[in-house]
Parts: sequence; C-alpha cells; structure tokens
Amino acid sequence: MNIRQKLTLALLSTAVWLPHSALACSVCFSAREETRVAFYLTTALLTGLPLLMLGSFVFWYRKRIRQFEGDGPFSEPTLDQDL
Amino acid sequence: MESAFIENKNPGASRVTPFLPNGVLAMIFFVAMEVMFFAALISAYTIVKSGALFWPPPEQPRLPVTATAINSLVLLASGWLLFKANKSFSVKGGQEAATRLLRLSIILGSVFVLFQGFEWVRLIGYGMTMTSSTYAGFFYLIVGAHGSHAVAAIFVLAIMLGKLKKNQLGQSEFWASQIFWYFVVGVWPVLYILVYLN
Repeated sequence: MNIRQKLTLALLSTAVWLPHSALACSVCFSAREETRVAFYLTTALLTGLPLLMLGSFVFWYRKRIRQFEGDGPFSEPTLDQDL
Repeated sequence: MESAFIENKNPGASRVTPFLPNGVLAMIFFVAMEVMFFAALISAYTIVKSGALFWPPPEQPRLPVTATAINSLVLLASGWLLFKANKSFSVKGGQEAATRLLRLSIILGSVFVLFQGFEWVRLIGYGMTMTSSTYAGFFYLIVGAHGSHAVAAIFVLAIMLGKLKKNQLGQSEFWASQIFWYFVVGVWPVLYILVYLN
C-alpha cells in the first residue's frame, strides 16, 4: 500500500465519526422534548410516505391488470377510447 | 416510448387495450414527487415549530382561520365538481354537462387562488413579510408553493376545457389533469390544519 492509498484510507476512516455529528445535529438548535419527538415523527413520515405511495401504486396496478385479464370482477375500462 | 398494453380477455372489449397511458403514468410520478416535496416542507416546519418558545410569534398578525376555512370548502367543491365532470364525460352525450361542470370547477379554483392572493396582500399590509420571522417565512413558502401548484393546475384545466369545447379531449389527458387537480385539492386540508390551526 503506497502513501496515497494510506492517506485515502485514513480519510475514509474518519467517516466513522460522522454519525456522532449527525446525532448531535438533531438537538443542536433545541434540546426540547418536543423537538426530539418532531424529529422522530418527521423521520417516520419521510421514510414511510414513499413506501406507502409505491405500495399503493403496485397494489392498484396489479388490481387493474387482473381486471383486464378477466381474473377479477370486470369493470369497463375508461381509457380505451382515444388510444 | 410505448404505452403499456395488455391483452384484454373480457368479452366485448377490444383485443388489445392500454391500461395505463404514458401521460397518466408520468402524472402519477410527478405527483409522487410533489408529495415528497410537500412532506419535506411539512417536516421542516414541524421541527422549527417544535423548537420555538412561542408559535406563532407574538408580534406577528394572526392568520384568517375562518375565512380560509370557507375558502378551503370552495377548493374542495372545485375538486368534487371535477369528479362530477369526469362522470359526465365518461357517459355518452354528457359532454355538455362535463363542459359546464369543468368550467365551474375552474372558476371555484380561481376564486380560491384569488382569495389567497387577497389574504397575502392584507398580511403584508400588517407587516407579515417573508423576512419578518421564521413563522412568516414558512407561511409564505408552504402556502405559496401550494398556490403556485394551484395556478399551474388551473392553467392545465383551462387547456382541457378548451379541448373539451372543440371535442378534442381524450380520456387519458383528462384523467392526467384530474390527478394533478386532486393532488392540489387533497394536499390543502393537510397544509391548512398544519399552518392555520396549529
């Protein structure tokens, strides 16, 4: 391992300390309990919302495909008029 | 890019039917992106609010809660009229009713935006500006972002109305524009509760 690689490795290893900085950031402007709760809630919101949207879309898409294939209850397609 | 097609085995239906046009799919992706944008704004607002000792700040004017609640009903009515317009558009011979309902929906949407503008002018007159406090900054950012989306959606609906009058409106493009407007209508109650009632 040459000096350049060692230096790169040393720099990368400093990333170990980054989570500590990130943890400190959540209360850096306010150490109140409300702020901590707000952080948890908004983290849950921003994590869950994309999953919920993706899940809903996949569920709806599968249901629509099943309807078109005739497996499920048939509903008249509304989008075949102009395409 | 091709539309998504699937073989339709239902009796009476055409053999190959598009089940999700590209325009609708693109609008779904766009709205999902916008949902995340507003979720980020809501998150930032919630965290800043939780760290404040007084919210809203004592020196800032109070927001017109009741008047905006009525204005919110106007927006919801606009969404309902668009839903009814789609119902009329889907049935044979319902184009005239759809045109009338879509026009009404656009008018109500415009009333909502104009009232919001009127509200802003009054608040600025009372000294509540983008730089007067964090509270005011968030108010104009969140409500302004929604307002700009509402203006864009009204513009889209107006184009759809023009096409409908000329009998050139396709079901898929009407559906895509509806998704956009339903998003604008659907996100507003959340913003209203968050910004005006808390």
